[in-house]
Amino acid sequence: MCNRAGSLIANVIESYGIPTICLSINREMSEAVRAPRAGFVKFPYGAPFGEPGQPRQELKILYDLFALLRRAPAHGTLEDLPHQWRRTQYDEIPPAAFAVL
Amino acid sequence: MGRRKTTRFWRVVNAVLATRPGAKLAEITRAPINKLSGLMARSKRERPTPWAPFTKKFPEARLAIVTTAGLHVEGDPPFDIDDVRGDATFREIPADVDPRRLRIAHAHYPHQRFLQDHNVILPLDRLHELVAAGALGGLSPRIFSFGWGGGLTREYIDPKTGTAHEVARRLQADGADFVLFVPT
Repeated sequence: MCNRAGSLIANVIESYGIPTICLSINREMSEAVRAPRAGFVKFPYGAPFGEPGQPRQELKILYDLFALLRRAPAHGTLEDLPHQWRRTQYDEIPPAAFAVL
Repeated sequence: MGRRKTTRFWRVVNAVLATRPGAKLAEITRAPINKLSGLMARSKRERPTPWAPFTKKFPEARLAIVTTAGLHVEGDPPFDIDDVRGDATFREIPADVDPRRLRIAHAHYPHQRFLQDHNVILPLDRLHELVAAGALGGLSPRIFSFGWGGGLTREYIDPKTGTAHEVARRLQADGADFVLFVPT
């Protein structure tokens, strides 16, 4: 629920020269208070990385966030990540895929 | 400075969310709650738009996690869930923490999924695997965890006293190359 505080905190951290990538589970709040970069997932409160016991899903969300950190063009980038609660099948992402992002 | 106002309301919400119907209700009401909270968060004030480019390769980069999940290590003081305005303080959690020692002091979301699997909020198992595989340079030694922020702003962003500034300085001291922020 604290996506607003997250954006405020991320902006301060970014002002110290440290790049930030925010996960968001409240699109409206992330639109109202923009972080430098945010990826939105339409997931329930309390489970921003998805369902329990789904390591592939967690890894894919991390991968998507890292990729967004790399390609976001400017402050205020807010992207919908392609994840659907309980409806997305996940393939294994090899660690090497992170290395070439 | 006003007197600290407290309420038992969020403790009641917390107890309801801990039940199966309460957690279900939270999911059904998510959309209108998001809409309303988005409207309430709108501010006419111009905010700064800082931009620090990410230029490192991930195998050489050190990641730090910052969250507002209200997590803390057992034995550390919990966040204040009774203050009507929220709690802008933070706790440090070692990145190599035994997840069984984590506690939640946050009354605004259902805790059941985290209690089943800490990775739904802190995907530490995945991140440690990435580091072990050489795909990520490392994890910053401290995770910084905030509580429920409510409508607080100055308490975070005031350049002299804001807790976000203190966290940013500690992240610099830890040599963090980038930060992943996780909400709940």
